[in-house]
Amino acid sequence: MLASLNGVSKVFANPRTGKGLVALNDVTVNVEKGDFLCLVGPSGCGKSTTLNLLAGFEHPTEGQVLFKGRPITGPSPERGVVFQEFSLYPWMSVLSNVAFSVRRGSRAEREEVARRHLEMVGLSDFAHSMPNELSGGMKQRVAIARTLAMDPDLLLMDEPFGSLDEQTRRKLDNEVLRLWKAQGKTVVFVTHSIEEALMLGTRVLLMSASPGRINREWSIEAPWPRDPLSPEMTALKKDIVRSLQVCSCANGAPGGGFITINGSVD
Amino acid sequence: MQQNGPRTRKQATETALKEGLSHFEFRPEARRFFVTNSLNIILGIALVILVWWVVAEAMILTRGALFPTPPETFSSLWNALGGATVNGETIYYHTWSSLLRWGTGYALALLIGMAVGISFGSLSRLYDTGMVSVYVVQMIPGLAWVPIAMLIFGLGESATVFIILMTAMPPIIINTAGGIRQVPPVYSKVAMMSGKDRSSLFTKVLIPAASLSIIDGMRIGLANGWRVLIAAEMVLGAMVGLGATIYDSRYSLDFVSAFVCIIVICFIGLAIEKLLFAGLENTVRNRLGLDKEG
Repeated sequence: MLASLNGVSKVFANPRTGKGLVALNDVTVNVEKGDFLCLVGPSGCGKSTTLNLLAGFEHPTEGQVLFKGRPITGPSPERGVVFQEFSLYPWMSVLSNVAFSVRRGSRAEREEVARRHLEMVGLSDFAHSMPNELSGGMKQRVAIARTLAMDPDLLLMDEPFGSLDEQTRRKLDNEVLRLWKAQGKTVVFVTHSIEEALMLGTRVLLMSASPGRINREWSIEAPWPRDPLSPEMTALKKDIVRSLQVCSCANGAPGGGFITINGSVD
Repeated sequence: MQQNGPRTRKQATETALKEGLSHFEFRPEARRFFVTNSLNIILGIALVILVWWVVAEAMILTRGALFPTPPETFSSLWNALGGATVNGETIYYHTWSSLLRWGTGYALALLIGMAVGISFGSLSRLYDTGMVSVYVVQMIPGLAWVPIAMLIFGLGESATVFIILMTAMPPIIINTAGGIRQVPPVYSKVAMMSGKDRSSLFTKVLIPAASLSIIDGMRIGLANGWRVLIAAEMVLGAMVGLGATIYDSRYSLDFVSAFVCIIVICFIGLAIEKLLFAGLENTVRNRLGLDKEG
């Protein structure tokens, strides 16, 4: 087992307003080496909190978060994150952004590693561009290159393509799959799109909101590329959507989100 | 469609529409902007001089006051630049003395202000209490520092430098701390997950990300310091300096010299603002990629 959450609860309490929020309640997840684990669910179900706990940006209120058998005390290059928002430093060139996260080596060596990873995401020609000259999809590809250049054991992706258009998102999904297979990494991928999770994951974890909980888990053995319209996938999608509706109603989740068939959430 | 190279904006637009292009190029109009910009500066200055002249003539006519007119003042300025003494010293020596006082006070304000601002910006607990003190200090008007400076340093250079320091520093602290607090959290997260230590988090990430705000603070601090310098020289009995000369005109009735000093003060302020800071801000904006269309 590479990483795990054991009976983890996470509470955010604001002493000023006197309001508390239970983001996660008694969540247990095991991440095995080689997994492509997708976390889906409505807004506010604690997907991103789960990812932040694994990254080490947050600490659990109760329970344990383990990585390679040891409690996680803070962020580390062993656990690379691709963030939802654009996270490149606008004052550094694309190459410097990637080289910044390479841990070891002289400047030249780090740039060499950066160059190799830019090539992997097909952006060699943009090494000397500034981030603001890139499209949204290219920025996220650079962010992926940067995270891979850290050579992490666990790749944490927090709705990395959420702000991109459908076409670009699909293209980048395939690219992530390709890199995952080529490098034998372990991925935890947060998305609100059920379809995206079905196209990518070896496992899909459905979370429900208020408080955040793991609702159900599916293992998907279908090979890639997957056809979203195949009977198998359609049946799976129906199953997931049904579970989602059941749990949302059961909780009477305030603002628990409304899920449409193609997976977008309000 | 590039066979003729870039053309004027109008031609290029027409061709693009006619040929159904999605992108086109034309000759940049930087020169035009430069010309209008220079024209604006000249017109702005001319307007001030015009109002000054009208007021001067009116005062001479109605009150018989010794109000220096622009021609008188500029010819005196010309002589002063040529080496004629103003209030016992050359204008260069007065200017140098003032600049030296201001430079010392401002350099100290930058050093202390940035250090305090960075620590306040990164430690919430310090920020919450510390900023209250900074705002209190900022509320003290420049001239109110005079008795305090006299009590600590007596009359003299140190007192002047102290007043400049105390008025230039608060905006530097406020803007540095505020700028660092406003850096998107994701920038720090990237540095942390990349295994960076605190010092590279500051030098490579937080300070560059907050640089525009820091420059704003430096700019306000600089103007504060420059304004209070003139006042401090007047009150603290400096023998030389632009402010001292302006103040001495009360007794010597050498108002033309005072006006010469006022012009030098305006010119230096304008030069620092337009040349130094505008240039600095542009460079930083460029580096941050803020001028480019996303």
